[in-house]
Amino acid sequence: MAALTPVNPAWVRNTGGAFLERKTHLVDGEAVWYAGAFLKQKIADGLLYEASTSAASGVAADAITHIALSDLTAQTVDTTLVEVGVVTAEDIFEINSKSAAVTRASNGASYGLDVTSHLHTIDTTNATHRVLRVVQPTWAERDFQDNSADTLARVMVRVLAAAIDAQAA
Amino acid sequence: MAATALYYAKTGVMVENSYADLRDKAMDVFLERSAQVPLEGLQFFNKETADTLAFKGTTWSNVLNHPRRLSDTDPRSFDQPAPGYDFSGTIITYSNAVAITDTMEKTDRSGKVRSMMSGLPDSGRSFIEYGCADVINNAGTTAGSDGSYGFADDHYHEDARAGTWSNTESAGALTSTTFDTMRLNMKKRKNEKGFPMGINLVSLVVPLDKETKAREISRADKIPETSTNAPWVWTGVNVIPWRYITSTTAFYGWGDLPPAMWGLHYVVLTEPTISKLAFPSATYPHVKAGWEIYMQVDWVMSQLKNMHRNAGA
Repeated sequence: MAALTPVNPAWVRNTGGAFLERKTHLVDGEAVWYAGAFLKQKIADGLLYEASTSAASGVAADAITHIALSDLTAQTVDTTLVEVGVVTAEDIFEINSKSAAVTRASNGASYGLDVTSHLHTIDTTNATHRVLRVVQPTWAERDFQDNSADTLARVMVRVLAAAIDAQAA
Repeated sequence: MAATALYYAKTGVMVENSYADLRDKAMDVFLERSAQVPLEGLQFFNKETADTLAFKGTTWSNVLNHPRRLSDTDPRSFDQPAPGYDFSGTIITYSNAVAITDTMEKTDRSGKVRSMMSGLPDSGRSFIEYGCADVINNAGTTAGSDGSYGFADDHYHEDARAGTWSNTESAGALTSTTFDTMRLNMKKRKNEKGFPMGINLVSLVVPLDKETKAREISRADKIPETSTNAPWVWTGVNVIPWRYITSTTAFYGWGDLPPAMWGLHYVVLTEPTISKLAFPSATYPHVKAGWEIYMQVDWVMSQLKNMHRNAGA
C-alpha cells in the first residue's frame, strides 16, 4: 500500500475520441489557481473562477465548466485572457481521492469535489453535493503503478452534466 | 623561532626591485616553484555554452506513466512527460595579467623572467577548481533549481505525483555502514514517475581527511570495522579525493547518470584564453612584454541528481 501524492486533475481521454478543447477566457482578477484546477464560469460576470469545494445545496455554485492549463496568480484586473480547457461530459479525468483508498464499490457513484489550498481532489465521503461520477479507480485499468490498497488513490472520473451545465451565479 | 617574512614589492608589472636574487652574480642555480594545480572538481561538471551574460537552462524528459488496459475499440488514453525546472546563472568576466619591464629582463641573471609569466594558465585552472568546489561546499545551504537546497531530503520530482526525493544522508562518520547506506539509498532512488531510475554509486568522493578511510573501504576484502569474516562485496569502489572540499567530515557518492542529469554546470561564454598584451606600447615603451588570462564563466547548480552527501561527523 502506498499513500500517493495528490495533485490536480489530469485529462486522460475523451470517450468520443476528441482531444481537450482549448479556449481563451477572461478570468476574475482575484482568482488564483494551479494547473489542472477545475474552474467555473459565473453567469453574473462571465469570468472564470476556481471551482470550489462542493457544498452548495444546489449544483449551481458547484459548477465545473473548465480546467486550468497553467498556474494563475492574482491579476488584480478582470481583463486578463487565459487559455483553459473546456470540460465536456465525455472527458475522462484522473483525480486523487481526498483521503481513502477507492474500492470497486465506488464505480458509477457520484461524489463532491474538494478544494483545499488550490489542490483539487474527489471527496468520496461527500455524496450529498455531487459533481464527479467515478468511471473506475485507476488501479482497475493500470497495473503495477496503481494498487487497490493505495490511499489518496487515483480515480477516473467524468464531470456530471449537471455541474457542466450549472449556471453559477 | 618564527620564520622571517619575505617581503617583495608588488608593483603589478614585474620590476627588478622585487627580484634581487635573480640579479645576484653569485647565484649558481635557479629552481622553479611551479603551481602544480590539482584538477579534481571539473570532472563533476557538465560544460554548457552560454550566448549571453544571463545564462538560462531547463530540462526535458521522455519519462511516461505505465500503459493502461484498453480495448481495441476504446478511444486512446494519452500521457505526457513532465516539464522541468529551469536554472540560471550570471556570467562574470575574470582577468589576470602579468608583464615585465625592459630593465627586469636585461638585468636578470637567471634567464627565467619570461618563464615567470607562464603561471597564468595555472592561475585560471586553480580558479576554476575553486569555483567548482564552491558549489559543492555551499550546496547544503544554497537552493537549486527546484527551490530545495542542493543536498536536501525534500526535492520535488518534476512530476509531483511521484512526491519527493532525497540526496542527503543521515549524518554519520564515514564507515563501511554509512557508505553502504548511501550506496543503497542511491540505488533505491526513483525517477519522476516513481519508477526505479537505475542510478548506481560508482565513486566515493571525499575530502583528504577521509581518504584513508575511503581507501580502506575500497580495498577491504572483509567487512571493515568488524571482527567477522563476512566478505566485503564493495571492494574496488572508485575513490576520488577532492582537495578543495572545505568540510573535513563530509563524503559524497557519485552516480552513473548521463552528464545532462548531473545537475552541475560549468557555463562558458568565453573559454579561459591567454592573450599577448600589446607591449611595448607608445605610452610604455619599456614594458617589455605582458600576457593576460581572460574568461567569462559561471558555475550553476540545478538538481544534484547524481550526487548524495553525508555531512559526516
